[in-house]
Amino acid sequence: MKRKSNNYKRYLDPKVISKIKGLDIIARMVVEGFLVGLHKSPYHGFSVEFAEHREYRPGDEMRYVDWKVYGRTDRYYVKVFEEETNLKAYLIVDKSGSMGFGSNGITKLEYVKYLVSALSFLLLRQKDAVGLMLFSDKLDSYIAPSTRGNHLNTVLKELHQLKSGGETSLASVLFELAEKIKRRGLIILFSDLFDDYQSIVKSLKIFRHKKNEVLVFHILDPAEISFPFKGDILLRDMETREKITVEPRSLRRNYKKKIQSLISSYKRDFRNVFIDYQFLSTDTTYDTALMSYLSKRRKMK
Amino acid sequence: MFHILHPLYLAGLSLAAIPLIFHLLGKRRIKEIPFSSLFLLKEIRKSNSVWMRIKNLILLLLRILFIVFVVASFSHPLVLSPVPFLGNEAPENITILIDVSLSMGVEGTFNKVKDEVIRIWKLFASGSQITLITYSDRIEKEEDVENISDVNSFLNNIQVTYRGTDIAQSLEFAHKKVLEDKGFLKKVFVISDFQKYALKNAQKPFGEMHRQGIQIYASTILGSKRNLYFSGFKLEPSFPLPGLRMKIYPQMVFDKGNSHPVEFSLNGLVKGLKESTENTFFETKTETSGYKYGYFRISGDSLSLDNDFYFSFYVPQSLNVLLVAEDGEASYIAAALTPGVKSPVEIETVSRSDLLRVNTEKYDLLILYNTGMNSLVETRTANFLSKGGGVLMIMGDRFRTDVNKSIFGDIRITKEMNAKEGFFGIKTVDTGFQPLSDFKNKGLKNLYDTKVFRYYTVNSQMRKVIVAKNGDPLMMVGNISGGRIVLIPFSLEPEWTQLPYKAIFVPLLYRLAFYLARRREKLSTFKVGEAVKIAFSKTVKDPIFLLPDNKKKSAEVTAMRDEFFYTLKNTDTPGIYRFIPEPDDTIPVSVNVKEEESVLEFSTFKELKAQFPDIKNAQEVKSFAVKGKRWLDLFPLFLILSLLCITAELILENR
Repeated sequence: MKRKSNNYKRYLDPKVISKIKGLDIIARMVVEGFLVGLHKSPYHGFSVEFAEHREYRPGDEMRYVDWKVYGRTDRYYVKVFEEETNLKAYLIVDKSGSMGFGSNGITKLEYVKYLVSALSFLLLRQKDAVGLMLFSDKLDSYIAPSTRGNHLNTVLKELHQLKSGGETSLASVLFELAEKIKRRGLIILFSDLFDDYQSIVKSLKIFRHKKNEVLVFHILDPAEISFPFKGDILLRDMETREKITVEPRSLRRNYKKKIQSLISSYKRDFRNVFIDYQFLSTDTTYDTALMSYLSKRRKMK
Repeated sequence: MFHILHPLYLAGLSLAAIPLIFHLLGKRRIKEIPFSSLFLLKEIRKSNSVWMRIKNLILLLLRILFIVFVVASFSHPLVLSPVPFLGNEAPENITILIDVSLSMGVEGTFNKVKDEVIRIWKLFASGSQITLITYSDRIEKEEDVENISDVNSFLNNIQVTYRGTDIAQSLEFAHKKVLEDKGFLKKVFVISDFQKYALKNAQKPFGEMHRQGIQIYASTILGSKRNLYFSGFKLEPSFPLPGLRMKIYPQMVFDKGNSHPVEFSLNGLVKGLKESTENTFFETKTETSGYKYGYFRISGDSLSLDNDFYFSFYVPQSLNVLLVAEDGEASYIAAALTPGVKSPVEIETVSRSDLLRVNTEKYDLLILYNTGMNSLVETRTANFLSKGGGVLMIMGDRFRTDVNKSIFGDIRITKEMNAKEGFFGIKTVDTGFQPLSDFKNKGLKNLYDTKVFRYYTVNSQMRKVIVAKNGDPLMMVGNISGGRIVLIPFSLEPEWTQLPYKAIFVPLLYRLAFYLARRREKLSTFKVGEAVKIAFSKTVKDPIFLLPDNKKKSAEVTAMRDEFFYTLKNTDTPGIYRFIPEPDDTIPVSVNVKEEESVLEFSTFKELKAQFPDIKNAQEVKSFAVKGKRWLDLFPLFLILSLLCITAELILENR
């Protein structure tokens, strides 16, 4: 059994999952791998519809203890619910050229694709409506949130066809989306956030003003963090095609400082406006991301 | 002082171009990598760009220096050790130039030279490459010597030559030689008496050697300066004829106060011996015409190689005179020149109008007797003079100067007809003029007693050898285009002068004739080392020269117009060389040593040093010494520097 759970956990590794074809399978494997790991955690079950009883374990909230059962059996049982909600989750994916960068066998966009697939699967499984928005310098695709039976396929099909390209204009797209989303919901942004820092924060604030919950997944490639290049190189911007010659060794220290400072700024400023921020490197296992979501989802109860 | 032990290795410096090429190529072939976004990089790249450039330049410099230092270390640069104990006494490359020209034959000099060679040999460390070269006006012998027995063997086999000195050529040869040889310290020693005349063109080779780091040492071997030698010979009369007595004067240098005996030989026979060279001459007579040759020989002076002086001359059969005069007018002149049947003078008399048909080339003397000049006479006279002929011009009433200017303009004869007429005695006689020099008291008195009638005045730039009491010239001498001319500017007819009746007339005329007679083409005299060249009018089937040692050598022939020149390319010894055009005919020519070699004007070491500052050391043989120097090999230093460069490069690269 243990081996089995371990096997499922393998699918949380982006490198492993990237070798599997079919987003639906990937989504299932990631979620199942995640849930197996989650089995003994207190996060299981947030839905309002009762599903089953199970024995109380330390960490379970006392409000879920079924006192009636306790009265009958003298044992603590907690109620496990299947969520039944009208939550709308808006998965906003940055598909700009920079998301096509990948140094460890998986691009940021691929990482996001698998992550979005898994999240969609998980959300839909919990009866949450899932909407998908793809953008670069403009909103390229918009799938309205839905909980229909084959909606997952629609989402996965869109993700399957997703290719990186175009420049990033995150702020303007978010402004546009903010206009479009009338009903409050959960906004999940997947992006490398390589755009004007101030305007990104400003645009996400609008969602917060409209009482949306916002979760930002800041996706970066490990190479974008460590800048591991050697020798003199000519770097070509994947969005603008601009080229510059650099000597990485002498730049590395400053670059790393700069990127860490950017991450810290995002973390700080998003926190200030109650936006959840999760930094993800493309070598980070998916459970971190899913856990962030769950944590957020839980807050929304 | 800096030297490179293996200069060829320096060619490796071209490898220093490799980093440069890589640097330039690297700029073009820089790896392109797609990157998500450059917006962060742009902010920090500016400072990086400047540093990158500086760093790349430093890296380039370090890589070039690395190669330069490695190459430099393997080429073994050497510097003079600043500390006496530090470094090695390194083998050196030595070329010793030994002067074997004639002047080195001064008694005792050549032994000093040999001692000096051995002394220099001992100064250098074993392993030094030593080349011995002997030179005169050419390179005589060249040999690389490895041990003292080689040196001794070389010295035993060299000898002083009869040739002159060409130090410049020898230095150039030595220069090439030392450059060809491997070795880091190149030294050229010149052992010579440094005759002043031989140093003319030495500045350039000395300078070039010095510029290329070759050290030049001059070892001055000074011999005795007193040397008796011959500078030529003189024949009297200058136109020798068979049966005539003649005097042969050896022309000597330093003959005053010397008491060296002189031997005289003519045509293979010793004809005389005098006890002293001072004012010496030999009297002799030849009964036959033809080529004559001989020598003077002295003995007992310091340089014996130039003690023989060889000469040769030609004795014609007779002196041929062409007398231009009107009928019978000048018969007394002809009679005066041919007093007897056996007279060696032959005269043909022609009138002015007949001059055209006469071939003047076969005559030795042309006498123009009161000949009115016209263009024919002028042209003929000019031609005759130009070929070395002599002209005795006796003026008279027919002589007109206005038509003679074109030819005789050089001596500017002017004739003034308004002069006071009358007889005048003679005021001065120049006995320095050779035909007059034989006349002593009686003869001169005879001449002074003579009166001549003058009715015009002659002015000229010619030398006046007899002057009348009124100051007018009565006999003038000059040279016109290779020929001699004697001008008697008055009529010699008896009614105008008493001179033909005087006892002095015949001998004076005779002497004038011999003085003026055409110099037979003088047999050229040659110097040792020069080519002997004989002009001959016929082709010779197998032209050969017979050398003084009776060996035969073929002559080279060159033709020019109707003359042929037979050349013996080189001569090594003085003596009589005979060209044999036909089996029973020989043309002897004399070859003597170069006179400059006999002069013995040496340069002392101080003079040499002043004249040629490029000479490192010029000292007299006794005090002359070169000490071996210690040298530091910079191989380790350059190797360390190269390692430092590569270390710095690696540190910077991986920074």
